[in-house]
Amino acid sequence: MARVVILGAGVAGHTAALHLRRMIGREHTITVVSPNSQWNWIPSNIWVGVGVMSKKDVVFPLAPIYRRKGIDFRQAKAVAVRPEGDETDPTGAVDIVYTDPARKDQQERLRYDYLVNATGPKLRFEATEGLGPHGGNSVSVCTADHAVEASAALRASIERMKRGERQTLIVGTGHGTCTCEGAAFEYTFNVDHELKEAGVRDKAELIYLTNEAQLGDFGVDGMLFSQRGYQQSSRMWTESLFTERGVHSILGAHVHKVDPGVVHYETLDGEMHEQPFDFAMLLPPFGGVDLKAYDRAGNDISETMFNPAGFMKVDADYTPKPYEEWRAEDWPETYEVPGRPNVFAVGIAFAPPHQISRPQKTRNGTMIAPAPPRTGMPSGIMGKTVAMTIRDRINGQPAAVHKASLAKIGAACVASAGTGMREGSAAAMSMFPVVPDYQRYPGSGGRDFKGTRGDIGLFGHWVKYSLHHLFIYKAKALPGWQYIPE
Amino acid sequence: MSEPAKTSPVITAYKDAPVPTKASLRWRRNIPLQLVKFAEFNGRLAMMVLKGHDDH
Ligand SMILES: Cc1cc2nc3c(=O)[nH]c(=O)nc-3n(C[C@H](O)[C@H](O)[C@H](O)COP(=O)(O)OP(=O)(O)OC[C@H]3O[C@@H](n4cnc5c(N)ncnc54)[C@H](O)[C@@H]3O)c2cc1C
Repeated sequence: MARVVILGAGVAGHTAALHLRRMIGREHTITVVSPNSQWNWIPSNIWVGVGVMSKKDVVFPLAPIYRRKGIDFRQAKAVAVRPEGDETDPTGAVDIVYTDPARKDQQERLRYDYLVNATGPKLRFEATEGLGPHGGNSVSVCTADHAVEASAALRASIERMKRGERQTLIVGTGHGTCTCEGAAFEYTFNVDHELKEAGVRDKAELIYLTNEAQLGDFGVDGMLFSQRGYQQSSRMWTESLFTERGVHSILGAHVHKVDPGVVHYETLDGEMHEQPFDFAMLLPPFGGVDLKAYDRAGNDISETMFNPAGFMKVDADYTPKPYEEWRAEDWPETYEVPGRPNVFAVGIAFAPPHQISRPQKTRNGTMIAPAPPRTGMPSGIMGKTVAMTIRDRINGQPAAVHKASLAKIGAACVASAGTGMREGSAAAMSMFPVVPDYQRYPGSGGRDFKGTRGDIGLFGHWVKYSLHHLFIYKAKALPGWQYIPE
Repeated sequence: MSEPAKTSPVITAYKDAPVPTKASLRWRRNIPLQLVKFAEFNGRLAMMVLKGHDDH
């Protein structure tokens, strides 16, 4: 009998748990630990944030699904990993603290034979003074509750425009090291659409403020597309969209501080600027969640298992080297923690070996370096891949390993730019692979033209809308869920 | 923090960007063409899923 413990019930952890449950016999236990009682389809928070969907459209309770599937669910947060066990028992263990109202703050040590860390990001609003909805001066769409608040603030701003007031709306990244620029981009164009729908677009200055050095970078060093016999860059493509829609932009920015109604930021040239605003949705930088690691004697070994940002180190090449020397092969394939063949980290929780976009420092020493995105599709694939490895190892093949490197996986990013089955629109991008491999695909931006494309149109909205329904269906583990790809 | 700079870094338009014509904007909402693009995009996604996993 094997005990599998999965930390986190987001895209990566939930996918791993559901697949593993159908792959291994009931004599083996699967325990999912997650502090939230609900599952959230995070990409659709964008629509909650502009008021076209409500919170209940994007979340559902996890416990009934896990009960139906025979997965043990603990509504709790993991606080420590003990890969060598403790003085009483050498079996690996995790310390959890319940957030379940019925057992609130109770602690427990769970033993595991296999551990999957899929704890996702810690939203580090505190990295920028005044950032974020928790006592700060900007809103966010990172959680469904944040998005509900963002929607109310946007509506209030629209009401003022209807009364004839002009408003400045800023959407973007709240720190120089943010990731997920695609989400900020998407929210920008949904706001643009809502302003038009409300008949107040002419009353608004809409500004996209980003840490990307140029539009279309998206934290993946941009993309090259082959279209109508020409190579086109994602930069040109994105600049076209911004110009067409009249959306303004601030590039290469690190936000130092958000005061009520004013963003203070520095640009790549080292100049300091202030931008007044009436509404600001700024994403926080991500870090790993607060997890510690201890050896058998109880000594803190967190530094050996996590990078300084708190992400778990896996089978990547973390040797520091200049940007020009970074290679696709540096990226992890198995997500196994070195020296600990029964511990894995997937999704946003694993430590990337380096940025994909060129990191830059201003003359004042401020880092402006978009972090690599680890989006939904690759997170799901990583979760399933690790589930397959664990399945084989449980079934008596201790050396079995399945691989899914971000330098070999593709990703799709469908950035909605307005809803409606006839008048909606979205910028749909696909890239293959996510991490460019300049050796394998020279002359095409490190990617395969066959899988790398950008297009704008109504079809993109249909894709986005169908993904919303498909993924919620799949996450609910309804009949045939396993045939829906990650 | 030093004094804020006088020049604004806000870019209001990219003058070299290829802006779509009215016809292009109409094609972006043309149902038959969009259905074809929908199928193409899903095909690319399927290709990625197949190539992305080492096996099942
Ligand atoms: C606004 C927004 C829009 C996005 N849009 C898209 C999109 O259109 N397409 C796309 O592909 N991706 C999108 N993404 C990215 C996508 O949401 C992530 O790639 C994906 O959620 C990552 O999966 P994950 O499992 O690593 O993390 P998450 O999905 O965040 O899951 C982490 C899980 O860990 C749990 N957890 C946290 N702390 C602990 C702890 N201490 N112990 C145990 N469990 C813990 C959390 O409660 C959660 O259940 C978007 C992200 C944002 C913020």
